[in-house]
Amino acid sequence: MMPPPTTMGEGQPSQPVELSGPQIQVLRDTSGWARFLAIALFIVTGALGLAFVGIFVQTRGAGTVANISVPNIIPAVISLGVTGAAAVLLWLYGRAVLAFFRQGEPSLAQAFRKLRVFFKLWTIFVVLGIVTDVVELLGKL
Amino acid sequence: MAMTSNPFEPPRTTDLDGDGGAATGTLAMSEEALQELIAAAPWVRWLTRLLSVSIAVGLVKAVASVVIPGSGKPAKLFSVAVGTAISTLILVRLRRYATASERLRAGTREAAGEVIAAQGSCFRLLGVLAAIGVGLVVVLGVIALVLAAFGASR
Repeated sequence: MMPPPTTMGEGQPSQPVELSGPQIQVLRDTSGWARFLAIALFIVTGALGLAFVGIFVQTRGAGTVANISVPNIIPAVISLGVTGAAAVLLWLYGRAVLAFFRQGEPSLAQAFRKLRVFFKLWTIFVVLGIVTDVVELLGKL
Repeated sequence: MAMTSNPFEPPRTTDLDGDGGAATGTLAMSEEALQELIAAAPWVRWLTRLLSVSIAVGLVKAVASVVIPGSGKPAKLFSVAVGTAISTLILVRLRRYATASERLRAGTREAAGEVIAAQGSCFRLLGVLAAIGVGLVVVLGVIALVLAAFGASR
């Protein structure tokens, strides 16, 4: 029979939640995937940055820099910033989880804080994506 | 080199791991860490909602590109189809994460394990997708180089 679930009520002494072996393994794997994702995002950020510089140099050489409008630049700069920030946050999350295995808390709390900021950033990015799509859609109609 | 049997094991970053391999004694999640997971719950829930909206808007855009003459291209429709499939996969994992974190927010401490499992599932999916994406870019790059070299030699 399963024990009744414990709840975090007011006034109840807060006790740390002990992690089981499989949970520790999941955290370790998640840390690995997060760092892999961070490296992939660092590469994407670098590639995007190089592409922007390349486009700028090319248009400057052709004397058409004035043709690059602000509405074109803003989404590109935002994408570059968000990708770079996401890479940094995921990297820090992965490192903090590893630090938790070495030293214990407060590293896990720090890792989850980075993850929370990552989710905030992702949410804001999705909102910007929706706004861009809707504007584009309205422009077509 | 030792082979692993689990195809979903994350890529090795042993050189970056330091001596973080061995955990000694029991590991416990502090109250502060739990509070961080709880604080993330509304963001994850909003992310799932907005991702659903984003998928819907993407589909409307695809329909519009078919209906409005001159604005649609087969490649664009294909990219929308792939994007929708990927977003749906991510959405399913995120909904699981959101449900678990909301249970934790409601006061069920046992849900912390579910949040960790959902976190792992989510990052594994994102990692596999990233690996596929990187692989595709590398393969396409090699094909482009081979074609360029073949064209230059003729």
